[in-house]
Amino acid sequence: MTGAYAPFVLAAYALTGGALLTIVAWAVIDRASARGALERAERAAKQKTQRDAR
Amino acid sequence: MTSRTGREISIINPGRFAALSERALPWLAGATVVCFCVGLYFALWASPEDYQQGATVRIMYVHVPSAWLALFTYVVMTSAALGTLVWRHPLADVAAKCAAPIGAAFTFVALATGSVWGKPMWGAWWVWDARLTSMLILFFMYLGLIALWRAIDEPSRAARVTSVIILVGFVNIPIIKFSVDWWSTLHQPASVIRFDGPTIHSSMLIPLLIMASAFMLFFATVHLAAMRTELMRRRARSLRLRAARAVR
Repeated sequence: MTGAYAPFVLAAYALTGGALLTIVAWAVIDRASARGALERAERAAKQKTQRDAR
Repeated sequence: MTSRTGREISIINPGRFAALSERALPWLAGATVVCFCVGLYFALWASPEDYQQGATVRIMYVHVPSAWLALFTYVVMTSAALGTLVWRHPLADVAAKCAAPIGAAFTFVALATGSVWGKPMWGAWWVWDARLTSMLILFFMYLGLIALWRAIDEPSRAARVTSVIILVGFVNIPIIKFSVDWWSTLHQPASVIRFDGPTIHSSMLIPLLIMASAFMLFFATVHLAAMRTELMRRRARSLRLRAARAVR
């Protein structure tokens, strides 16, 4: 793309791409953190059940 | 009738939702990528330049879909707020909470790309125009709701409070849509979603609709993924609370 308006068009697409990729990154990081929290909670619950059984 | 309603509700219970969404997510993600590839090809290369605006018309293919999705996301949140307050559906609050950051991102994109388009066409990055100002208010509403969800620890209380605010805030949606008709504004009037049909030429309308579909699929993919994450987080919270109660 060439011409005087090209920087504006490219800036608009870069802004959009950046925002959409940020949302994807947020979804991935949030999922990893939630999975970690769930694993810790399940481990703690399992240990408690084993302690109670003893 | 009762059994039909019961079956419908059981389809959207959290357990079945998790199973269905797990199967749907890869297909949705794939369709999003394909739709974006086709849409970008049309938007950047195959569609014509405007006789007045030149190449800047290509900004329309990201600006308009993001503005549509900014409004659509709020409509989804309003439906979810009704689901929380009226039917007390366990997934409704999760749907509203997970839609807010995505809606904020779309609103930001609509405002930022509109600003980049406004500079060469209007000679200004920003004007306090009715459409722009009402969109800015929508952006702050999204940020305020996200902050409120984070400020209240107890999920059911947070759900009730935010649902009421979402319903009150819905008044801004028709204001945004009709601001260009009700007030004299610099922003152009609607050219696609009109009672008498689109006024935009098909060579630009088709790429715009493909990009709008790509944005819609992106929303569906990320929203489903975020809802699954939120359900996981809530399960972890309930396990922690159960353990804490057992210690006491």
